[in-house]
Amino acid sequence: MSNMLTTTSPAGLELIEAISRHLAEPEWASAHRKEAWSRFLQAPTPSRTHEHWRRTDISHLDLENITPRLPSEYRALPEWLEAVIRRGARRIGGTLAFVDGTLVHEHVTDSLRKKGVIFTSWSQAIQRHPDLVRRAIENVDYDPADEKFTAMARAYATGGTVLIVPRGTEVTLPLQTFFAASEAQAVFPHTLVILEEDSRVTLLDGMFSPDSSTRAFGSGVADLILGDGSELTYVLFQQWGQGMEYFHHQRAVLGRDSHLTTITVALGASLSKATIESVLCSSGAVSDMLGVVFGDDKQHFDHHTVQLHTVGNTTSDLLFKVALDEASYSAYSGLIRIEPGAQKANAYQRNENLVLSSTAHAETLPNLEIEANDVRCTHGATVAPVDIEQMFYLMSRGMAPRDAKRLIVEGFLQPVLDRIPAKSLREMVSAKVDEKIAHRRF
Amino acid sequence: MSQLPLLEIRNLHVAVDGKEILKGVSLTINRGEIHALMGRNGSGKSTLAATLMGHPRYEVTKGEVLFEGRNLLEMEVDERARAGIFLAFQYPVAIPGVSVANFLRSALKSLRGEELSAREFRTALKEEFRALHMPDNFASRYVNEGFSGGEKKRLEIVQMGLIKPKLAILDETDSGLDIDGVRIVSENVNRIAGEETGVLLITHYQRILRYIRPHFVHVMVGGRIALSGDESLAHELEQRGYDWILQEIGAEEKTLQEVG
Repeated sequence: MSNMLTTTSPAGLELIEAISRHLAEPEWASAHRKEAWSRFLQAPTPSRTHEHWRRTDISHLDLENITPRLPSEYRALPEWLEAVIRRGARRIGGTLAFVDGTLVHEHVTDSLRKKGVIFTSWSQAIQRHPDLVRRAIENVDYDPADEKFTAMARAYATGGTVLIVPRGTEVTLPLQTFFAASEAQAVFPHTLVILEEDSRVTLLDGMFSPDSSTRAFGSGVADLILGDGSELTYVLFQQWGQGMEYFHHQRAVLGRDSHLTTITVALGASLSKATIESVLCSSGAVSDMLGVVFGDDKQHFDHHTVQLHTVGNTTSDLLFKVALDEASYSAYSGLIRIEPGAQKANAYQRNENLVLSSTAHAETLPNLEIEANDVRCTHGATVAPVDIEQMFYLMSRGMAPRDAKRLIVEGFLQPVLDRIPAKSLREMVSAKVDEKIAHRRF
Repeated sequence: MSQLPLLEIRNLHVAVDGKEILKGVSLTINRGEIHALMGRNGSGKSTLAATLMGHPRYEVTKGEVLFEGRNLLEMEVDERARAGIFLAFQYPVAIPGVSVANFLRSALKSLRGEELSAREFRTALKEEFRALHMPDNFASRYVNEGFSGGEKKRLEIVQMGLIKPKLAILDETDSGLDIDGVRIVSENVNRIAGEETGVLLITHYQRILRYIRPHFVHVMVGGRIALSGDESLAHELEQRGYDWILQEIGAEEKTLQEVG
């Protein structure tokens, strides 16, 4: 990572102060960064002896010497990103785009503004809505297993989205954020979503960078807070280019009778590891977690999901589909935890892996911790090659083996993509998945 | 028209997992001919169908198969399809997540070597659906997923109609269909086959033969064609069952039953 700004630890603290000054952050925001910074320094770098890190080797990373660019006053929207936005979804309520942490594009429809919806960059939100943001980040939870990365992301956060939907407001058109990284850069995407009572919205976070032989780095966090009766659909569209090594921690806290749908689509990056967590801590909360992973080349994916039921009368469902070609690797591990007293909790989990080549490898590790006795809980996992009878059927209709395989992979992944509710986003994401499938030689 | 037969099977021996199932099948089918292949379960009828289509599990140990004079056994499954062979499956598999429309469009593109226009495809598909008494919304359902037995069989014939093969092998297309279903499917097979298509119709029952009238009837026993005749043979089987054939071929009976 020769092009990256590198620095030793004390200089790191200076950099954080510089970021704070640069963004004219109030004292509390700056203190939040510093706390994150000291946690980052204190937390040990995870090694493979830790269960959570057993399947992803990061020993080549010198985390303390990876730092972001200072956000600049002005950066042009790069042509390739403009093309992504232009060719992307239509009928969108708002778009934000960041390159290396600097806001380069912001478009919000008037109707969204009139409704009082806040959809803006992290730094602007801190200036304009300090109380709301402050309250949200004061309660931030540092997951011990991911602390090194989440603390790093919070300390260095430059670009980032804040979305706040006022009580009773339904945002009909979906919103989208693009986080882009230039070659050899380190980026720290940050998303904060606050849904007040009975509000409803769909947000897509898209992550893009050019393919490169140079390594790039990213560590992102998404905090999703669902007020009572609210409904959130959150799409994480991970399409980083080759060379990117990306770490992600997403945590949703669900209020009473709220409904969360998360759809994780992972196509990109050389190495990516994500924790996706739903905390069902109020009665009536429903969490649907969906995932689509499609790997090729030597891509490495590691997804960990957590369905945490702290109270009863809560429901969580999960479907994670992984297709792997060439020498790609995926580890999926999923925890369902039902805490004592969380009676009448329902939790379901299913992970399906389609292995398309003899050199691809999928691991699946379901894990249940159930401490209540009146619950419904099921889980299932499959790892299988392409079905010979399906191939025979398609080939008997004239399809060459590679076309037959393509169709099977599309069919395997499509049912999950079909659950993206906003048509415009669904079409954009499906097109990208199909594009990646179509480029495969099989 | 070519002088060569459409399909010529000569002394075909086929094994599955090392066990010989077909033990010397010979059969010639010319254009426009309908051949009914009858016989008990396990006699090898479906093995013959799957072998002709090129299923990888079926190993040809002896014999040859020529399709329009070309060596069929050297061709891959998809090449056979492109050459004009169509198999209506006894148990069509589900392809989850792939819509009928997407599947059929891909198939036609592969078979014709070019993409159909959306309009042309829609029109053709609608016609076949109507002919088979299937609602248009089948186009958006996933291939064979959650279909009833009868719906699966009808979709096979929809495919036959769109593909218009030179040789159609129908593997127990009548099973899983009710009386109306058998009639509808049969009428469509007759329509699609017309004067040119060769048909190999595999069935247990005589009932479909009331609608699709065969030029030849063959009875398979223990991996061989034990008896061939005309339409009247099917009626005889209906009345007398299969046992008399076993007696008629006398000396072979014991061995055949053991392997059958």
